Amino acid sequence: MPALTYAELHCHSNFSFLDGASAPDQLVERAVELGLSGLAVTDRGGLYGVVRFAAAAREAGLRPVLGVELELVDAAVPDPARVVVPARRPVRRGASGPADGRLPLDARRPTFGPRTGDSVFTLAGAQARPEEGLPARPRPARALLPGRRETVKEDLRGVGERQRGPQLVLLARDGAGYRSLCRLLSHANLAGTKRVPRVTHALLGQHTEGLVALSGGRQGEIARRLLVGDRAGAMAAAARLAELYGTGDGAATSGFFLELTHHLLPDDDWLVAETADLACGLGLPVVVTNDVRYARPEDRELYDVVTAIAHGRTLDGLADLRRPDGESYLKSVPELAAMPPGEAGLQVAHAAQPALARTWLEGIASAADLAGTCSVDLGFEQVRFPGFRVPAGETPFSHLVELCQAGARRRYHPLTPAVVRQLAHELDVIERTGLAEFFLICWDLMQFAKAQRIPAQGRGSAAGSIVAYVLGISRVEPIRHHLLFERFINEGRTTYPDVDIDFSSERREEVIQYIYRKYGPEHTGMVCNLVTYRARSAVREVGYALGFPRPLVDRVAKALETYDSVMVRRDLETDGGFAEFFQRPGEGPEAGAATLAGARGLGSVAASAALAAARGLVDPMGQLRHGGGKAPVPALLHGAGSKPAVRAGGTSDDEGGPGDTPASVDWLARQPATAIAVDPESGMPLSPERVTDRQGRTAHGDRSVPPAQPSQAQPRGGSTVGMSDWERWLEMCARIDGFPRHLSIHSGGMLVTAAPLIDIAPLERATMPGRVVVQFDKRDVETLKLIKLDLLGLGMLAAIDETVQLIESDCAVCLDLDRIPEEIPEVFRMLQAADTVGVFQVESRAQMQTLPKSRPATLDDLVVEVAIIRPGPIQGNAVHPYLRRRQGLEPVAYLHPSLEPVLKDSLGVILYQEQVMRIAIEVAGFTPAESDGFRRAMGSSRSSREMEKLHLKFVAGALRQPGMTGEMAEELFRQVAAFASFGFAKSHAAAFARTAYESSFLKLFYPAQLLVGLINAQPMGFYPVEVLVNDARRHGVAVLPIDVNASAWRTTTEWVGRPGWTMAGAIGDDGSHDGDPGEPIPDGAGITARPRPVRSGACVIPSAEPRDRYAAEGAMGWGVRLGLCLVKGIGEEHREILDAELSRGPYRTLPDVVDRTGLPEETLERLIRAGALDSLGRPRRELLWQLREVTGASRGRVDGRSTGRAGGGRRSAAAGRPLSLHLPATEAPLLPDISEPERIGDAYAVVGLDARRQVVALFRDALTRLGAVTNADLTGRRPGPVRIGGLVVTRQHPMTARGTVFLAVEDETGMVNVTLWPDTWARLRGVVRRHALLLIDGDLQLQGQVVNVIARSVVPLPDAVTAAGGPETPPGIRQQGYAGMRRL
Amino acid sequence: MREHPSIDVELDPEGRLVAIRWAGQREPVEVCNRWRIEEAWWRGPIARDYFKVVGRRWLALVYLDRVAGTWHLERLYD
Repeated sequence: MPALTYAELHCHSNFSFLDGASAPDQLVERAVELGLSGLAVTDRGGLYGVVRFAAAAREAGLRPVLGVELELVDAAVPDPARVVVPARRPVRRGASGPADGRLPLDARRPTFGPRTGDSVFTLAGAQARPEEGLPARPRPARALLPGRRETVKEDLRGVGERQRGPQLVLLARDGAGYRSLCRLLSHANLAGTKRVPRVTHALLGQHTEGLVALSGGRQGEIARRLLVGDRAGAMAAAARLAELYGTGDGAATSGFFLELTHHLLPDDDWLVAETADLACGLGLPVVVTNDVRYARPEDRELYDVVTAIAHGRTLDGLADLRRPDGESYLKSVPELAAMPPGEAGLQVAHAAQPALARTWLEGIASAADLAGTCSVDLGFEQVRFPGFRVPAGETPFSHLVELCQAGARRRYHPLTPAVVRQLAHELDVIERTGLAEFFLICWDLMQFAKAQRIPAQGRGSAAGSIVAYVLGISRVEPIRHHLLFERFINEGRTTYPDVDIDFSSERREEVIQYIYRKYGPEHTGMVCNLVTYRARSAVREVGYALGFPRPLVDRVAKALETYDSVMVRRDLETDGGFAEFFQRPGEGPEAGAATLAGARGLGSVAASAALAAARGLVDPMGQLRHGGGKAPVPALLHGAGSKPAVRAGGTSDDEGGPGDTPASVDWLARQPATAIAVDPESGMPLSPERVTDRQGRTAHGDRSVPPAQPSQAQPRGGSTVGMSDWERWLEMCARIDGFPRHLSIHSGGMLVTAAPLIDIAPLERATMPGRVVVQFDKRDVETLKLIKLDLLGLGMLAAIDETVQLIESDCAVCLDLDRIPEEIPEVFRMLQAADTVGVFQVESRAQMQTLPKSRPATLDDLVVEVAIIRPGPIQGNAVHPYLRRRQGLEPVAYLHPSLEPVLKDSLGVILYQEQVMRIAIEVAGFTPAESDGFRRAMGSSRSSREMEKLHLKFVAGALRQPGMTGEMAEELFRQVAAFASFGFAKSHAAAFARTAYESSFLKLFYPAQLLVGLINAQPMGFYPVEVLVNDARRHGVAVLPIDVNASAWRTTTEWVGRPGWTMAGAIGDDGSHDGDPGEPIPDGAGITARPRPVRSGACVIPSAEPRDRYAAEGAMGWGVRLGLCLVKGIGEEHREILDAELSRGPYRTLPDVVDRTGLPEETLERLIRAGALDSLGRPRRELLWQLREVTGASRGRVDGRSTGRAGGGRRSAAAGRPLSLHLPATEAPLLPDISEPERIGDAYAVVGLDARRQVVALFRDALTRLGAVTNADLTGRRPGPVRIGGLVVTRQHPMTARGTVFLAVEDETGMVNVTLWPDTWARLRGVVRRHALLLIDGDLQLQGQVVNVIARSVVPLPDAVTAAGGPETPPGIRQQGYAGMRRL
Repeated sequence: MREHPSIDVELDPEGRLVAIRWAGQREPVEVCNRWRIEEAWWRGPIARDYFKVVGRRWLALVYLDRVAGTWHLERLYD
């Protein structure tokens, strides 16, 4: 007999979403190890993993078979007893038992189950009828009521394989088969619910071309029928499917195969024999499959965990849903041949038929044969362009050339030879790479955006192209910024160029709709986004599945600072609260580690025993070689069942985090404080333990270098048997890392194709109603080289757009952002002073701490600033050399003179990816295409051989430079390699710097308008609205409170008259300005005085001369009226009515407000507390008193629901009054007026800010008594001990700072950075986590204009003030000062 | 749960179960069915190969504990 080969044809990867425990590449790797001739990945209901799988298989030289495992909703032949499609009923949560209180599913969702089930009346059917005993009732028409939400998701928790529909495996034999699969799945998905495609036999019949069907193992219809003894039905079903998919002679021609699967279950012998017998009777071919769910035997543990997660249960409570066997791993030919049905396993009487053994071996061989006939090519390059229509007689390229020429004439005056040369070069490359159409598509998109006035700009590497610039795709001039086109496109590039276009976040949807219209919905789709397990989700879900108590799981998850599930262990080890879990009772840490290592080394018990048997090529079932009973390590199992108790301590977050235990505080206190040295100004580590790895990359800290701990150094894999529960938890978290969990819509990736999309990828519903996504994610689409446009929403573009429109309507100035002068000194003065709250990209704490040192003076400097304050350069220690050189503290030096032109911008520091490429080109003599390959190779961890090749080439090339020595060349390579890993595309930074500059300009000259834009574009940026408002007020912008009689739904500008200081000219440098209040504030503004600008380093007010030059006259006369939508409970749905009622005229009384707005009572209460009804002229307490009465009187309810307005197309919340009695409200008793602290407390509680005063101002007298200074005064003080009081507005715990915590603390005069060293944080984290209003004692550090307070002690401000005899803090403010209420 | 009593078994040269010994009695048996259980790896792993055997007097369910390598009698059908 020739040597058997085998290909596994029924196998789930982890793309079956919690129904598979190995990634496609792990499966491929294992299949190659086992010597399989092919492998199919047949994920449940989708082709999510095929691209990765096919790529991995091709790379490994394995034949990939693409397929899918379907769950059918009906049976092939009538199934009156419902043995094939069980009458599944939804599980009602909290129901006590399965029998009671459940609705038949098909009553609720008529799409599931055979619809004809009712008409087939048999005895069995009647018995199975779930409605039995209930009175017959017509199907409810409720499902058709308007407003009904279509079921998007189905709850399948608790529904096991046996209760779901029968399975069928389809494999694509060729391209046509792949298309059939895509079409079939798309139709089924659109007819079904999210993740549960509705596949009927009728639908199967429509898409059979090029497909091969396998009967689906134990859960297939045929097996199910056989198992209940319905042999006739099984035969009929098999015959029906064979008819559908075609019969033939052998693997190459047959379309339907019966699967033989043996998992060593009690009736598997019987089932295999029966199936084989059936096949023989019908003359159908068989294949052996193993219904694989994971690659290796030990992965079964992870599979059980993911099954538990999928069903929301613990492992202990999963008995009915778990596979009882551990056999669903990839098996080799000898293993399979040795299974009981095979010759080697012949033993049991009824299975001992030579015929069966022969059939089994034939099945193995025919699986390999079948795999050999399947070949699908996923090359869609020919069909990627959707066909861009060009004028007659033109080709896409000639049209592009024309557009470029016209664009160049528009953009450049005059057209310089450099521009013409660059344009010609780029067009040449575009022609040769055949990407003209791609540019036309982008151009068209920008044209649409322009016509619709949708703010849009390209970013990323595309901004390096002059073609993109002249076509209006990007706004960055590439020649002036020395950008490199080859970073975007070059002939050597194998992946597709990436164009990211930012649109105003509010209007991105319009662009998406345009693309759908333009290319047709069948050629357009959103790319999906694969949501994978990250640290927190892994810890939570694995923890629940392993049966840890919920409070413990929640606590551990909350304590995590990392996002990387592989890092969970490290993260928790450094959190003292969990330290004891890393030790066994009675053991020191070393002993624990040793035991653990020992346990791992020996591996598991059961799993490795099975594996050993398998490796020995004996079937342990057939030939049990127990020998003398060599007991495999039972001693290791001790203690495996010990459960860690929930730690003593608080039960909720406010009672302290997991670290707030004496043990952890001790632990943290023991940490040497000197281990972490962080630059107080920038928050960056100063003396990093630099680790240089083999490739010369510098890593910082130990994020990228595995620490030398025994636990981490262990190779992953193996069984977790023998580990403590805690260890197992961490191990499983690491293993589940990166597993796909579910799909969501990618934030903006649109796929446009020439072939109908449905032939390229299956479509499915997204959670967003009406939205359809393809089953491929961004990475897959790139692999397939399809066209993807990234349409991203950028809040800042929306903010700037609104600002520009407001400037136009307020000041009658039409501002063209492309034409504002590039180097306005005042703008840079502001940036240098770090007065950047609200400025794009440079507003963060770290940016603010570096701006006064880097002192950007040109747009190019700003580009550097945007690129350098990022985790990469911070970790790579690129920041400090630059800052020192920038400040003149160290000379600008170049390793070799040839580097000067390349690195001049960044003062000799390698910072941009373009620089890496340029060095490769100009110094080492690479071609542009090679340089891009070099950059990417340096950036990713390629094989050392490839690296070595590039290294030699680089050094050899560099040595050709005159004066270059070998050491210099080596050092240069080392530097380039080190920086390439985190380098930033300059084109990207340049695009962002441009936007940063524009927002700075607007902040300086039109602060009120920009504030409105920023508030309305929330959520965005680094700071909450409160900080933006306080900052604007410090710059002299009048912020007017929310008022129903003045505020629209959105925040708007409002004329308040020009302040005196703008008319009198610049305010003096000493901070004085004459007392002229300026134009009087209009009545009803809500404020009595205009805020005075605060004189501090971080508050730059333009002087008269530039203001006259760059800003409209009277721009400073505009204030900001806060919008009603800032009040919690007022949403988009109230917008129309609130704006309409505002324009109808003022509200006079409370009943008037209640009637006209139709807002619910609690929202009205919030409006009153926010002061929005103060203009009614009644005291707030009286309004609150009346509110309930008034709402009760005017909101009659009929039958528990509002009556609605007749013919009401518009759903008015004001509807629902049966009769308006308008009885006068009862007289309120004499109530005390609200005090100022109460007012501020209410404002903060309801809106999160107060338009009139910052909350700390309330405590100023007491603070002065306590010896605290204002933040603005800090710059004028000498370094040393200082006391400040303020409100924490952001808290950061950056991983790069290794345990140091930074607070931005604001008072009425400004913001200051407060640093807590790790030991201080350990001591104070209880207070800091709980309170936001703090009194801080610390040391003031001043470096130039950079202010920093190193905290020594922190107490809650209200407590300190009370102790100092200050005003009692009202509850509103107390609550507001409670950090748990704020999102920090 | 009470431990299942230990038994001795006899295997033929090919490793097939031919007889079991328990309580001093030897019973030649033939296997009617067998299956494998692998369970509870997170508590204390259970890995057993079950054999339903029939002899002259007994119909019994025995298993090989694959963790400990010992044979046990789980059930004796009267």
